[in-house]
Amino acid sequence: MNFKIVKSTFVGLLLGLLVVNAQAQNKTVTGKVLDAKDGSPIAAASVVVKGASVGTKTTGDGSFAITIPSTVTKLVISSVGYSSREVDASGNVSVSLNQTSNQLNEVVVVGYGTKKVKDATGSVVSLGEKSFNKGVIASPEELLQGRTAGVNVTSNSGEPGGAINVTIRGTSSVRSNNNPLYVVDGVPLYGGGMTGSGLTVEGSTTARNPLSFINPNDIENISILKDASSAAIYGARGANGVVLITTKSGKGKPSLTFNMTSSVATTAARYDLASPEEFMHGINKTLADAGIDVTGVGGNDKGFNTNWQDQVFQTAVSNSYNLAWGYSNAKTSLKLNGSYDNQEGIVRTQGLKRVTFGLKYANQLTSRLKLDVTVNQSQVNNSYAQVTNDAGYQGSLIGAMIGANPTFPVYNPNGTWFDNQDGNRNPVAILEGYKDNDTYNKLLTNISLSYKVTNELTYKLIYGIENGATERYSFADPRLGSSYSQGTINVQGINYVGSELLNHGRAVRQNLNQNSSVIEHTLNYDKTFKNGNSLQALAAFSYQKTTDYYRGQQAWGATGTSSMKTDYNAYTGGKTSTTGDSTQVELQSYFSRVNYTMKDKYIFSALARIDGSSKLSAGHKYGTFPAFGFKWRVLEEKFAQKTLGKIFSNFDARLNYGSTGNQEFPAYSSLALAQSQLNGSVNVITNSNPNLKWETTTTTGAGIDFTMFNGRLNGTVDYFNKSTQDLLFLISYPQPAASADRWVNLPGNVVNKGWEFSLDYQLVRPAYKGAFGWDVAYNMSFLNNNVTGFGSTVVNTGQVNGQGLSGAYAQTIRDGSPLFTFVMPTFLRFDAYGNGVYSNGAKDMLQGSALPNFNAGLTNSFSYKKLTASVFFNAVTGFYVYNNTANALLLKGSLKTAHNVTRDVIYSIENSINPGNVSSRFLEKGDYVRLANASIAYAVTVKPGSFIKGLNLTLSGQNLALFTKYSGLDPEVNVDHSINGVPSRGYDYTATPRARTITFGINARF
Amino acid sequence: MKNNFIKQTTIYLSVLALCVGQVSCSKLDEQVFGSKSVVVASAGGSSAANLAAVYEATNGLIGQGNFFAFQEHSTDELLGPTRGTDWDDFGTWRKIHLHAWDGAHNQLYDTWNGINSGLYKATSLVEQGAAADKPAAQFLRAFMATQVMDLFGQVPYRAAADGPDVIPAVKKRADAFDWIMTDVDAAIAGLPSNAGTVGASRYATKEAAQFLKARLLLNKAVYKQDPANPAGFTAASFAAADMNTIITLVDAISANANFKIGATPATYWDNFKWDNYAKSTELIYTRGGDNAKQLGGTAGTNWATGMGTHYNQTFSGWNGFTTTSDFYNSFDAVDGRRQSDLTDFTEVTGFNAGFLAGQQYKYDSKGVKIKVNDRSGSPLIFTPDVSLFFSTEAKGIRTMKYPLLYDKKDLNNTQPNDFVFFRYADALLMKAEAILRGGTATKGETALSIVNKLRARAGVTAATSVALSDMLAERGRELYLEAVRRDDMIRFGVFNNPVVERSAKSDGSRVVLPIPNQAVSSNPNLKQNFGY
Repeated sequence: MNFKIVKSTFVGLLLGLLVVNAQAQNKTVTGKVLDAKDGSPIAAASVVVKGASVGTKTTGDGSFAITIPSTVTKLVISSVGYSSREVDASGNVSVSLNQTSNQLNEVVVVGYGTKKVKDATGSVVSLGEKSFNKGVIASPEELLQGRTAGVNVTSNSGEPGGAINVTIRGTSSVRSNNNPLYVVDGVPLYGGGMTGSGLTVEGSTTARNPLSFINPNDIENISILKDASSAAIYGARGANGVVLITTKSGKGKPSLTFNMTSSVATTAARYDLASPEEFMHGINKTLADAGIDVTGVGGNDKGFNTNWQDQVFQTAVSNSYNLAWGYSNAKTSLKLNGSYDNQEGIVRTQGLKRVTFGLKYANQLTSRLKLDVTVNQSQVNNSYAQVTNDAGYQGSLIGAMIGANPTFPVYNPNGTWFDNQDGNRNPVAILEGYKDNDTYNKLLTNISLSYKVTNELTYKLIYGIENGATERYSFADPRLGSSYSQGTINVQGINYVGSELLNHGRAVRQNLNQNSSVIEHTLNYDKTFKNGNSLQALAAFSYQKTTDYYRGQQAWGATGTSSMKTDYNAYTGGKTSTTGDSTQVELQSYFSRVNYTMKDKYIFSALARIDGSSKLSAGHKYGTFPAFGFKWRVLEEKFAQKTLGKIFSNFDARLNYGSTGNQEFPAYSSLALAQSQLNGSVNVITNSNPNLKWETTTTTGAGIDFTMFNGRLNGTVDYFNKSTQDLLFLISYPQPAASADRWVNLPGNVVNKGWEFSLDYQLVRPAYKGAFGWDVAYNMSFLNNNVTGFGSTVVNTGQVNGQGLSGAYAQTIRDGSPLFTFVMPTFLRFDAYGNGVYSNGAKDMLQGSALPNFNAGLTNSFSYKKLTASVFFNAVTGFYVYNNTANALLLKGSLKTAHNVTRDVIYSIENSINPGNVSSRFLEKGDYVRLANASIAYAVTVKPGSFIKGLNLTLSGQNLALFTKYSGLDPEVNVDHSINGVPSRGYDYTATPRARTITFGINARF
Repeated sequence: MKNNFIKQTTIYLSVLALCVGQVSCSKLDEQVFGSKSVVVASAGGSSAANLAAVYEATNGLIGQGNFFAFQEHSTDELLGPTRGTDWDDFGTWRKIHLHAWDGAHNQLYDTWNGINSGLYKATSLVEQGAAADKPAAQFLRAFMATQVMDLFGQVPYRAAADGPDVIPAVKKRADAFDWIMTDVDAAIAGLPSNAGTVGASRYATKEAAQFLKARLLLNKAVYKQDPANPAGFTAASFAAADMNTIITLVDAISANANFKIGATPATYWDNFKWDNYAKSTELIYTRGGDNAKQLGGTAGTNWATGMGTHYNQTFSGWNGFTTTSDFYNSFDAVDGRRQSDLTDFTEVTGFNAGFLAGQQYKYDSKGVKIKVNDRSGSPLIFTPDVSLFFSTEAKGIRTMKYPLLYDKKDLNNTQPNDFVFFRYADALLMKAEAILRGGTATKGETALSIVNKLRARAGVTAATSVALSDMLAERGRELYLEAVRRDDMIRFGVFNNPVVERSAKSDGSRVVLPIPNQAVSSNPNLKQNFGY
């Protein structure tokens, strides 16, 4: 339907028609134009007389009234993005239009409201269930990976429920957390969850994902506010973008949905470790080369053939069940949702069990008063293997597995763990000798009341509560020797009587309670004027208070030492005194937004948010974050229709500007704090900064949205320039002082510039229902990150862990380089003696950055009769990965101490006393293309009227193939190697490998 | 209808009022909980507690890295060789031995922050603490400031009442020396004498302050030197008046009958072994180990064992640092300070006290003495030859200065040893050196008699004469690993000379460390030291 041409002729012919009409008898037809899909009113739809060009437009609530000659029998109703319809021109008509192009009229959730894509001035991406990744999904971010331009999702490892990094339009903060703000059903999440840091039985474990409590099946839609003009509505917390999660509501007649998935996962890649024969050959040759008389050296070959990777990894079977029931009618809607997941890890003993319950209830109490209640309750049980991120010589579980001597048995003949008493640890003992579980209970409740004061003005009150409580128990078996539990015989560096691990065991209890409450008052004004122009205005107040309480304690000496006791209270030998810590943070905000749509052609939006945070110093607590957006629907212009209109059926240009804040730094950073120590001393532990203020990110962006080929091609191009200033950073404080550093706002900027493209193309449009159809969705983004104005400040981060690597780091933040630029000597080759040769006298050289500069996602979807299929590839290039695993473990010298290595090391010419210095030898390009997701679904035919209303069967695969030159298992890895809280990126160090997963799913509707 | 509307509106408005009332606008003041509190500028909290914090800050001087590493690895006493995949540690140890440090050296920053944080705590106590604590606070401040002056050649000063944005002024080395002297003199005047009770050396005493003053005066030539001309010293660099003051101070310490030198090598080890706080008659200023009764937390000493011992030995160490062959060979073979078997220790662990050389032994679970093997299964024989860059597991002679306490049954150790900062033998050696440098002998003690007193105790033959040039070696034998070697070598003008595994003479500017880069950029008053 070429609405533009209709419209252009309309004005020219108007006068003449009026003349004609004046002579005839008139009648008035009224009606309402609604979206056929969800019944929502369509504003500014055109209503014209068939065969003529006289007409009107619908108002904001979709209604129209037109006075026409009584001879007119048909009206044509049309609107952009909908197929037009003819209706009888009589009385009161109600017209439902079908969408032709989903994209333009798709309603996207933006902060504090919804908008149609065509009315959005900012860069907002909305993903519904269809676009989500399929398979075993532990956490909502996994649904998004690779699906949207400019959103980079990196899972740190293959651990179920492990942390995931989501960066939107690049990494903007030098310090502190770069994760976006998550808003679930309108309530900003406080997030958090057991981090695994603090006290542990075995080194520092990987952080957990704070979103794993959400049932991914219960998510209807995820909106991502990428640019500042949209994200600024969340002000101080929107600097890293905002992810809005909407859970499902009840719709239509009562219906019951049942989902079940069952999956099998295996390691996608394993280390190419030497066999017993190769290992013994390597070890003997290495010792002989080092001048050691091999004949006198015994004990290395125990004659077994143990594949330690088989001992550690398993084929993981996971099941998930989801039952949902819901309905809606004129007044109420209700959705109940329950799920149970049991995910096994590919590392034995790793796993995640989750039970969730969700309730979403809406009631139009009176014509003016509406109540919404959302309750999400979940319990997540994580079980951990001792996969740590900072292991030294003995490695964590994965490190010990790589180095384990393949000629050693797993068990002694009497069933105990084999231990060669050489300080090297039996990986199976690490698996079986520890029990480490947590239980995470989370309640997220949200009650809102909205009241229509007038037809235009609505007041809404939101009250949200987020309660999280984690309890983690870790136990170490009393049969483990002193080489276990961080290789110490004591507790946290102190020799308590009877605290040795051997014969006494050890237990750690940790509790983390996090409470957050939000209260928000909003006033919304929504008015469509008679001329079709519309105004929406919002004024709001928001207050959020969050408290954290952490407590940890170690105990030892369980009675009876023959087996591991998994009851904390059984450890009666002694306890450390409890360490505890509490923080409280308050955020208070005033904000306002105005949108004005003029002639359906020019759309303006302006907003301002004033945020106050208790974390900042007095006098600097408040920050103002303004934003502006403008959209020009170009094809509404007459002059454009003749040019652009020939190519495009829709063409919008957008401009946006906005600033957002960041306060993701520890509470109390502006204060000088003293802490009383257990030994009676009082130490001042922080230096105050009375000038600490907000870190702000300012983004300027422009974009176009277009539709071509009769709606078959939809595209978006965006450019952005995002600059973060007043960087919050912990820097050296001039000594003498109570502690080494303090939080300041650094003068530098972190600048992210980039282009984003996304295209959706209906390559083959089904000729008829059930005919073959082929859709292609492609997105890509180019990103350039740079640090400017940093002066001579050089901050080192990215420590390198492992034996002989204490104090080593390999990343730097400095002026003129991207964040997370690697710095290290450039390795050239091995010399004739097998010693490393480095350029420039082994001086540190700047190398590439760990941040990718190109991301792309390609989805091909097919449909044919009752079959649908999709194949999704994800590509990430232009980044480097530091292979710390190789640096620490895969060296010729490892053989000298009877540690296994990969086969290439056995035959390398490296000398066994060549030190494994940090160098570009271990720095690799991470470029990869992954066949990330493929699925095929079949809709089983159900007889009309039968008990089952719909039945779908799905088979999907995740991480099916990886194309990369990276020598480690997977270049998509990010093991935390931060120094002094300055984050690192792109380290690969004995992380849980990524799984390849095949999932079968059934979805039934009743 | 209308009635209904009004009713509902009323209900709604009351709910609204309730909600709004609940959350009136917050002032956003931060609430601090638990063991933490906001520091109020004028009040310093309980003064006893703060004194504990200052004592505790001296723990930062104890450990294999930082302060200790710069004092020892930079000399002929210690080096940290890279052993294949072990101990490269980003070259951190190697750079110290090679004098190849720069302002980016990782241990430099930690050392600077650690000592200066103690200095700040001491200043707070001096300026805002209780009057009764002041002499101790002044001693501690002088002790901390001495380390800053000695290592870095400049001393920044932040007054306790300074606001958070005040940039500390910086005292040049010569001025800092005079400033420290004021504190030391006040401490000597105000502190009580060491009462000879168990653990007395863990507190500031008159003798500790006297010792500190003697050490400062002995090194005054170094501290008063033109930093841009770090040459050696002539006899004239050491003023006779200062030497006589040193002699007077040492005599004052000797006047306290609690201090005396024992007669057998075993009494030398009484100064270091696990019960040194109770057995030694020489401890002037120390810091207690495990469960020590003292102000502030304890400092362990197991690092002093573990930094050298092999993984497979009975104190499973981390097979790191070794002494140099030259230093080892500077001892007479019978010198009890080089090697002594200790009762309740050697027959439990297989270790001797002193230096560990040759085949190493331990005891198996049946109490049978067995050879220790290295990680590839061959016998562990510590050899004197060692390479800084390429060493295998057994290279280098290890040190055992602080023998730990072992439970004979399960071979678990504890580390109750006091770590020794100041010791009476050092005081006597300072007196001997002061005499040789132009001071006047007193009490019938000559340089030779003092040296021979210590040699006799060590079980070696008496020297027939002692020249100034013999003092450095004698101090090395008596005081190795007591964190004074760097100062001694600088004072004797040999710090830059080649040593084992540093074949070239280093630049004269290396006698002070560079100011760490981060510190220079944080404080415009700090100017990088000459030569860096």
